[in-house]
Amino acid sequence: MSANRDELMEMVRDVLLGRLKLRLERDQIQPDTPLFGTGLGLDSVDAVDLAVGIEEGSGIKVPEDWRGRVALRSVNQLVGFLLEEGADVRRS
Amino acid sequence: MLRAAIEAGQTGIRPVQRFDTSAFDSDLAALVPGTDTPPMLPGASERAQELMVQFAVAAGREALLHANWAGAEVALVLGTNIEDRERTYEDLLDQVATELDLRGARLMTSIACASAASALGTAARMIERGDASIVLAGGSDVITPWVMAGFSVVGVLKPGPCTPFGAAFGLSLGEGAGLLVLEHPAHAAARGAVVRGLICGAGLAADGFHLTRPDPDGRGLAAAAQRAGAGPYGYVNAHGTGTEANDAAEVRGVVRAVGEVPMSSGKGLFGHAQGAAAAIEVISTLLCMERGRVPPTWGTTDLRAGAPAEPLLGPSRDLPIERWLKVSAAFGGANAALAFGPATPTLGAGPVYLGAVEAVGPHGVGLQGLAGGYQRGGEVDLGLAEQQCRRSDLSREDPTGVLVVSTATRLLRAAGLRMQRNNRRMVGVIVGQARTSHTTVERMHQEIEDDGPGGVRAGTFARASMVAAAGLVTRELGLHGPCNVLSCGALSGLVALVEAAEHLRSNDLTAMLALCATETGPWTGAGGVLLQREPTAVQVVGWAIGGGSHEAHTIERSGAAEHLMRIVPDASGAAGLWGFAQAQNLCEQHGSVVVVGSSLGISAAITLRRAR
Repeated sequence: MSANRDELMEMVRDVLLGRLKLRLERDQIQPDTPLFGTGLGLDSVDAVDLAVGIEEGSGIKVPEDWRGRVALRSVNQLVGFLLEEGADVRRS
Repeated sequence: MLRAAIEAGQTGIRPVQRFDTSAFDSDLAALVPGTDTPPMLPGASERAQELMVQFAVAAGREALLHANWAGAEVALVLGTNIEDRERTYEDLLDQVATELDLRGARLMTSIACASAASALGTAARMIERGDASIVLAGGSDVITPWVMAGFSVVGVLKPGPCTPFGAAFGLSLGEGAGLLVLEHPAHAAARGAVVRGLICGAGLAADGFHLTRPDPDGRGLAAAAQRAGAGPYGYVNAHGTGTEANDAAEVRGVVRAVGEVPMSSGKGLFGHAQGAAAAIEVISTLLCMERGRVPPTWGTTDLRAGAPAEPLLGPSRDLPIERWLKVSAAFGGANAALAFGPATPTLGAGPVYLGAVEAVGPHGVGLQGLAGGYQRGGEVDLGLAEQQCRRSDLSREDPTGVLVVSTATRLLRAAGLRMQRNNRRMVGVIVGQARTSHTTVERMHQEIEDDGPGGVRAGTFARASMVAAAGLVTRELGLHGPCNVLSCGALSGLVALVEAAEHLRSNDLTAMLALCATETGPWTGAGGVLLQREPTAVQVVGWAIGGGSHEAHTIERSGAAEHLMRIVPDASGAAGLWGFAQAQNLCEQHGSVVVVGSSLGISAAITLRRAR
């Protein structure tokens, strides 16, 4: 069964705090937070790590084309993309 | 044997048997034959370091033999990107020097994949100013499971063998050592040595652009090539890794600097030998040129868009060349170029002044209370250090990175230097580092332990290299001048300052920063010195480095002074920089002072004089 928005949001937070080790509180990562630049300040190396973490956490590959770039604009865009792809949250 | 392999296009790229590659994008690499067993397990840093030493000793022995030199007064400048876990670079240098019985000055250069080019350039500068008459210089590096994991996660490994400038993108890793015997032309002539090539220029420049990607227009690479000398050049031995980002940027940079010239890459034969690459490629080029040929770009058949106009695809052909360039580019945005051929006129030398001295440590920031704080020891407040840096959020960076950026920010502010578009290329940075960031290296190994070899994060891998802190400074502050990283234990800071002075004297620069930081030990913090062209109260009139047991000679070459100040070497090397606060006072008091420091492997001296 596909995961819902809240579950995916938590999974994205897990990746950002766990895999990327952002020095933030969980509630500082909000749906509207941009991932790059003025938001969480990620760069393209972090984008690689984020994509690997998302694939591990949901089984969905973030494509390298324009769809991937749009998906990585904000936390919300990423969650929306994963919902469209019918992502499931892998509970390890 | 090497020449025959190059002419026949016999590649060293083969399936990796040293460790499990199932988690990576490729199972191919150019490994040194006979080193597959015993298997190298993830985290086996000690074995990796042993191989690095073994490769360097084997290549060094052969180089000295070919040069027909058995005297002991040989300096050693070794480029590598091997991690300094478990042993320090100083320790590894000592072992290489001992096994080869070298007794001159010794130091490491580590700017990731451009380390060997940096080593050859650094050695050439040492010879030019009389630090040594003969230097064994080059690089040695090793393929480890974590290096292959890192390149894999960054997405640059090619499943098939590397084809530089070819239609399919990606690189194959390589390893090994390349060492050359460099000597002063007069020294070589006096002993009747066979001269196989002449280094006529060396240049360094930072992109200040990105952690792993090169400046897409190759601006840093072009600046490094221009600093190596005006040319004209008949051939460029490319970095040519085969990745999409490197090859395109490199071709643009080369064309920008020297125009359309024949260009080839040896990476299809040797793979990308990381910190040894430039040395191996220079040797292969010199070997081919002895027969009036150039090494071709083996492996490549279909060219990609943006490939060089003359990529010299195999087989090898006759092409007499008078003057040629070797270029290298690295993570952290470091670029290095070496020019070979008859000497060209160089830029005139300019004066060097002491502009500012800064420190960040447990005492706080600045120089007030620093000495007492250093005596007591303790940990620096990283939050306070971060507050010194205004440009962006440094929360992702390791303590070494935060410390060097904060010190550099304070130095620029103290000297009243504002970095703008028009002066970026005129300010550079030399970092002396006894150790790589312990925090990042340990994090990388923890990731492997937790998630297996494929679990290395791209961000961690890219920061685990010694060049990371220097690269961060160039990006945060916009310093696009020469960038180099030197390591020689407790003398790292002082030797970095010598290198900074040398660049400022001979290049068209406004200022150079020397920085040194430590995040482990009884005292954590950083020191920095800014040297500038604009006159201040204290002029830097001389500098020299020499063997550890030749301190008196090093002082003499630097220039005698009214007062001698000894730097008490601390484990990090940072005291060798912030010690200049005291040297500045002594100079104003006595009229002149020579600052000196020495360790087992190296001695360094800098002479200051009160300016009118």
